[in-house]
Amino acid sequence: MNRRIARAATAALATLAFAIPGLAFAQAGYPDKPVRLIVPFPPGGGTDIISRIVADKLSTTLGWKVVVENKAGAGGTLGLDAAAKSKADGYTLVMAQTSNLSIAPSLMPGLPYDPVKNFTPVTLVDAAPLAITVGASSPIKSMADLVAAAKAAPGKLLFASPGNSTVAHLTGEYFQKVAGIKYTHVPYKGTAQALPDVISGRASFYVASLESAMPQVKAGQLRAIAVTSAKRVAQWPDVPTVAESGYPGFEAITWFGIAVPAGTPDAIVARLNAEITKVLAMPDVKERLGGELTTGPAAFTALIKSDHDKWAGVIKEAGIKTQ
Amino acid sequence: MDVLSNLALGFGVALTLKNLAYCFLGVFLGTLIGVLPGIGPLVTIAMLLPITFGLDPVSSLIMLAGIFYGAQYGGSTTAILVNMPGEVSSAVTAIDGYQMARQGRAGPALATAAMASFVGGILSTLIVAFFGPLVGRWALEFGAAEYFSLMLMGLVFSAVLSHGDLVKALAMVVIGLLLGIVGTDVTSGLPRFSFGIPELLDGVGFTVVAVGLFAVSEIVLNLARNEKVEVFAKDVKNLMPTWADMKAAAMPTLRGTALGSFFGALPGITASVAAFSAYMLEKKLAKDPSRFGHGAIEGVAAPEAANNAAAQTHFIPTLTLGIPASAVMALMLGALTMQGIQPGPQVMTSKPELFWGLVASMFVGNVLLLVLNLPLVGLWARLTQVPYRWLFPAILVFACVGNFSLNNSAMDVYLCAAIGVLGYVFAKLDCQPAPLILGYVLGPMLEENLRRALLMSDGSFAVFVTRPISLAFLVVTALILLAMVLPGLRRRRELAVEEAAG
Repeated sequence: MNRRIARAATAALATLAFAIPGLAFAQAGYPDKPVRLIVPFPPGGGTDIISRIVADKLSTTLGWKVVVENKAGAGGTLGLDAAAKSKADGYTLVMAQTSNLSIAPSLMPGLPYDPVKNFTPVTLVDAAPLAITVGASSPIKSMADLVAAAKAAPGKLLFASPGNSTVAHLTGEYFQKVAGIKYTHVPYKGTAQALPDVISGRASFYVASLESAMPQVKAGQLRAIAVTSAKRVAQWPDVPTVAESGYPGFEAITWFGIAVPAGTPDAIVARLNAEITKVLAMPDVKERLGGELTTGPAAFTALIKSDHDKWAGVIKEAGIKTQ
Repeated sequence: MDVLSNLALGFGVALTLKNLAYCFLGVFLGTLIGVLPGIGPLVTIAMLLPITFGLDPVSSLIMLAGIFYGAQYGGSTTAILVNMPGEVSSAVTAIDGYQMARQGRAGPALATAAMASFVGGILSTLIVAFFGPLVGRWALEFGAAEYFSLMLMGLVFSAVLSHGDLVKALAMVVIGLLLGIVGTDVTSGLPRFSFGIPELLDGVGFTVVAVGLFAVSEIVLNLARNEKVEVFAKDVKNLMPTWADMKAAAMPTLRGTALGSFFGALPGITASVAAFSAYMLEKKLAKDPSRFGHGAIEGVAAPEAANNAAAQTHFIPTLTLGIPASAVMALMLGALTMQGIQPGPQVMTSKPELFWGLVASMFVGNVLLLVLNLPLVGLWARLTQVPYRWLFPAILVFACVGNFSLNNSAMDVYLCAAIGVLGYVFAKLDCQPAPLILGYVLGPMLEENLRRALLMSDGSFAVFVTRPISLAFLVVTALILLAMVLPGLRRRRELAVEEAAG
């Protein structure tokens, strides 16, 4: 352990001295102490895994000491709030995602932070589409089948989601609106609870992150009938998008991005953006994270805004309330 | 036979010097954190997660699994010695274990707990090895209706759990139910009893309740008493259980193992439910149920066998279906994901050395735990002679650390303190905490599954009787109710007859 710290320190010095003298000069000595990456969800989950991959790479390649701090609760808003209230000195980062920055404002009137005013986006790190899946023995083979089944028996299809007001839930509501159909939402407490019901066919279909449905699809227990991204995903070249299934323009993704408290010096934001972008370009990281990302702060800011408007519309139309 | 050759492969992996070392490290750490109230496998595994990056996947999984089931062994230690369950699942062990310790039988209680855990662990690992995929498929049959009926059976059964006043026990169950309701309702997405406090949106944590109710309030209670009174373990000479003890504990251990293996295989049911059920079953089967709560050895053996058995079969849905059965299992799948292994049903076939290596390591780990724990019995038993002024502050510190580190939230520490006060009041009112925990655990599951079952059946209650597994549970529930009510009626009638005659 000690040796690792020593090695890390040496590497840090080396990096600062030689690698990028210009930037190092701009923020002399950053970082000279451990950098905290707040993860607003518990360890082991999707957000946590993404965060640890990035933190691990920053630590091993640059010799920074990036400490992942899980601060879960209230759908991630506790962690975001803690980050918003932290010192804007570049030593607190937060792994934010769609629900905390773009959805929460429309759902929680008492949200303790302002996604736009309290944070400076650094960069997106991952964007994942959702997968629409059915049990392997389900008669539904495509989105057209799904819509036909819903039209034949309005309100009878059971739409399973990993929880109320998650991106998955909202995506299901969004599709209902776009396709002009009606089904019944059955919320679960996370993927693990929902899977048995979907696999066995007790629930008609399931909307959840690609990552969480992947193992079951691979094992032949679930069948993917569509992905919600604009383009097909590399892992599943045969699975069509919702858009190409007859609903052009339909897109719903969960993205993850690193932000810092507003007021963090521009030079540090630029440095962080540069280093994380480099990490994301590494082949072994690219294998795990990515999607087609634009990694600049400006693109991130625009995405927060456009997703906010999209989901606010869905929430209003579906009449979803949390208070 | 296929399983045997697979097991041979597994032992080949598990018995390498490196993996043996990791297995030992895991179970040793598990025992240690199991002993400490508040610090559980969840926190420990979360903290160790970054370290496992550097290990190869099998070794890290073996170590993390060792921590998990090792904690089930350790959890009984403080439960028996100082009435503070080190793990939530050993809360029920405290009821009779602590009484045994007060009677100077701490040694036999600890040894019984270790041996029952061992039997439970080994037998249920056999189930994992031979019937894992089969059981996994069967667990898929459990939907909302089945869970509801099962929970209902548990709650009705829980009336048996109480010793003493039935009304007080029911009141405690209701308080537990209310406590369990706090937070965001899964079905509607609306917050309940959260009073606008964001930290309460996820409910009151399991560890928070258990540590507050047992450890914190017990410490306060002891401060109120005279310290001298409570040094009861002067006589720790006979450490091992007698032949009669062993005989009394044998069947409960086997029954506990069976119940534990069953519950553990169901995703979403915790080891504590298994332990509670095993205890209730023993009390129901006992010739003299009044011994329970006063140091019955069956009350130690059955739940300890059950919680360890559940800990092993918990791996079935996780490994064969890729469905994590609990937060700890989710964490382990997370560890695998970070290693670049996509967890799921295909792991068994694509990476047999991983699955069978882990299963084999569970055999090894349970043997290691027995070897580790039996000699420790003497040492632990002497712990009761440590003056409480040293012991209690230490326990309190660990409890705070454990509660804080779950969510890195100070709120959890305050909540735990508040529940500690509540626990003190309950103790003064002579109300047992165990029914509260049961209500707290089962209540929300009962409600959630009832509402989901009805949501999915479009409001028709028929779903509970048309699904065979659900119907079976309901029939058993009705029989239990009948069995409980009938003797009472008969007695009352006899009483009435006597009165009439007299």
